[in-house]
Amino acid sequence: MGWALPRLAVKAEEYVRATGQFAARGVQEKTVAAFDEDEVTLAADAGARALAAARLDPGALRGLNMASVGAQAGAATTVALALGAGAAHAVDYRGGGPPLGAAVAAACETAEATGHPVLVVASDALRGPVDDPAEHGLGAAGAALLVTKSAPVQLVGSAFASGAALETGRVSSDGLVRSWVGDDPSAPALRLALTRLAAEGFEAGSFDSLCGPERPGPLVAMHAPEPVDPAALPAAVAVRTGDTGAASAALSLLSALEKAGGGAQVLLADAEGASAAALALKCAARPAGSDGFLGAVSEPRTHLAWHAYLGHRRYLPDPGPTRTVSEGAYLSAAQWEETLEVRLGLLMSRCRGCGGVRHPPAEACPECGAPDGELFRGRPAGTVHAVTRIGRGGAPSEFAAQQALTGEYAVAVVDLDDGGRTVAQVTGADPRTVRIGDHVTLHVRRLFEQEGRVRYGLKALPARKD
Amino acid sequence: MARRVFLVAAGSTRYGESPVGVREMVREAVGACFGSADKGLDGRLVREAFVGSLGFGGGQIGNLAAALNDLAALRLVSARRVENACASGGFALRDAVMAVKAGASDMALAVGVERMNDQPATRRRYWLGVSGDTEWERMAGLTFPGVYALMAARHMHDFGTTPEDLAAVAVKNHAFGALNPKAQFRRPVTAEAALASPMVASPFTVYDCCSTTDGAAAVVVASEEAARAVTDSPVEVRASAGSSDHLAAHERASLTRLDATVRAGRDAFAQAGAAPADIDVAELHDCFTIAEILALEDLGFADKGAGGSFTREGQSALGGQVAVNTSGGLKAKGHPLGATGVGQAYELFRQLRQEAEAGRQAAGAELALAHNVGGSGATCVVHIFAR
Repeated sequence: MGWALPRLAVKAEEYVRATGQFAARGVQEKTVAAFDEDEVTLAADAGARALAAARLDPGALRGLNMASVGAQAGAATTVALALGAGAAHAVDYRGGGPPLGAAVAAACETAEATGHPVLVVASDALRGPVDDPAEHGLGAAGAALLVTKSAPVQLVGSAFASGAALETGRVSSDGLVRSWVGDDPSAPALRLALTRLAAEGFEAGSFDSLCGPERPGPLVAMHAPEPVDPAALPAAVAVRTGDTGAASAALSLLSALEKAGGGAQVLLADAEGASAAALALKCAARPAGSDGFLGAVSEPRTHLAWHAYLGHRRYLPDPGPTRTVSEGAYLSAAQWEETLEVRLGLLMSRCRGCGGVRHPPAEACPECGAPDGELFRGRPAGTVHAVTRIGRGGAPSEFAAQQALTGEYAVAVVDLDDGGRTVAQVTGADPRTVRIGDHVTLHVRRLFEQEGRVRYGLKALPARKD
Repeated sequence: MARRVFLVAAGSTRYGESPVGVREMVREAVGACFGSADKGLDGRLVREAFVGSLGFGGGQIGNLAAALNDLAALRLVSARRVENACASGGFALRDAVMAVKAGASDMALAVGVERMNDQPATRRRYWLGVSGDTEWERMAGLTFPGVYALMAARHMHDFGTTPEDLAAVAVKNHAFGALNPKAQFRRPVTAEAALASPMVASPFTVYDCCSTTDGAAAVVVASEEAARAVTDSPVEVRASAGSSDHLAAHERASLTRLDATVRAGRDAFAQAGAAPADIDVAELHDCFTIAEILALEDLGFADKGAGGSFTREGQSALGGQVAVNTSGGLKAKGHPLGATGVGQAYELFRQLRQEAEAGRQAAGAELALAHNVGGSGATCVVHIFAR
């Protein structure tokens, strides 16, 4: 398993200070995706963590199922490219159905049938109108579950339920979450799914842990057909993260697994829109990568003041239309898509003649001319060779909006650990603290929007200096 | 035996904010150029013309060179635009020299022109990035100052170059610009003011960066025989050498050395049978202060890493080892992208004929060098001129 939690957060008291109210009861603070983060980048970071914990070559993945309420079509493919799993069958599981529940059930079927692993990633960074109470509790996180045929956690039972046909989910066509008119339709669906699972011999009382979405209270406890034992509920996560959408149930599972003993029977419930899933899991042992999660949740975060919160959430109006239409020095959308695997997957070439390494890969070596360099996926890590901080007015127009909202940013030339050199914007650290010689890892992040689409690229994340 | 080639006439607009467009600037510069000929110049003898221009703003990207037909004398001339970003002008001059050497024409015209300040700020920002690498540098959030700033940051790390060393370049060039009626910026600046100005891309402040400039310059090159009919004091083009390197700074072998400059410089000195110590006056491509320091090193005026101390010790001032950027350089005279390379030839033509204003004339200058770079070092052309 793996997770990704943003470094930024905003406190409930900051909401109250700025707007006079905070409607998400029980949430003390919630995680905030930075300007250059979103459900795609969180899913990629969580997936990378899970693959590293399992020491699995991403090329071995048969499928990548991305569960996300708010993601755009094609998000799973972008995440697959970022993880180096370009050959995997990437599928989006979006709102309407229970994204995580459906993704996990499908992954189990595929892993069982083919014997090959499937990676499930679940992430959201939902946004809403600032004046709508539904926005208050919306946080951000990513989670990942690596599903294999002989994993320590096995699926032993499942039940699904769907409600009224016209329900389209929480996310409106403009991508924003709004308050339900009437009751949350996932409640009756969840109750029905749990009842059906009980009918198969998995009553609520038979589970050592009851995991499910926190919105922000535990939905399982709120909507189970019979009262549940509070001791069976895992340590609450949403109190520090807010409502993390499709990731929420997975984070609840991570919380439970950190305390669960061997042989535990765990319920994983999920509900979204008018659909729900209830999965019964048997845990022979703790899966790799599930340690340390609760510590990561309670790690101190950088707390944002209100204006910075609005900026990072992209709630502030675009300062000008220039960033959406390029007027020169332009990479067409087609050219961007063609090079996406090279960029996000950090594809490199090693010359068969002189051994020179290059990114992007070179067909013929520019140094010695030898043809057919060996193609490989470089480790996304390196050392800062040179760095500069771009001040106001020094940014290309595509980054003008980012700069106006988040101030100066650093750009570094990075000597890659596997050889070769690249250039990348720095993220996740105060630009003034980056020095030549610092070690960085490369992560997929939002660059900018152009012609209606988000462009993703690798940015450099410096190792923490404490 | 290759033909000898001479500069016989040169003209320039004032650099700065032009009230007129590209075509009028070309007319003015070429008119001034033909008018500068000591014994008169029949423009109809110019059969090849090269117009260096990036085409900033996108107003007339195609067929710009045809605008030379606005001048009666150049009607029907064989003309083309030459583009190598900020080295467009220098390469236009190189092509004109090659045309005369090859016998394509006895006289050839090199014009450089750029208008940048008629664009609104947001468009200007876009166009300033077009000479860098789009696919990687721009997508990482770099524009021009950022790329050179990375080079400066590494130079400071490797050789101990200081912000004060960078400021010394700006101070020297603004002092020269104050004496140049063609310069965009006609006021000296102190090191304190330069160091205290706002940061553009660390370590660069505003005073480390050249500004956006409108301007045009023109020179005529001629064979030895054709030159005699135009002037009794022509300036010989002893060397013309060009080179290129990877487009993006991080693709090159070193961030602190422009291999294109090293190569073009070596070739030029070999052609001229000269060494850096022989050069009396030079126009070096100082789009950013670090660029002048790198040029001093890469051309061999100073050892690698010693460009800062060379400047600090006054070796690039009048009376030093070589007078650098007596025009004010790109920093103070200005940098109309395509015009700059031709403007450097205009300046050195006048320096070698002792025609520059008092206070910035290199006394007794006999050998001069012009160094013109495109982008952050993707292209470079070096000329050596002799009295």
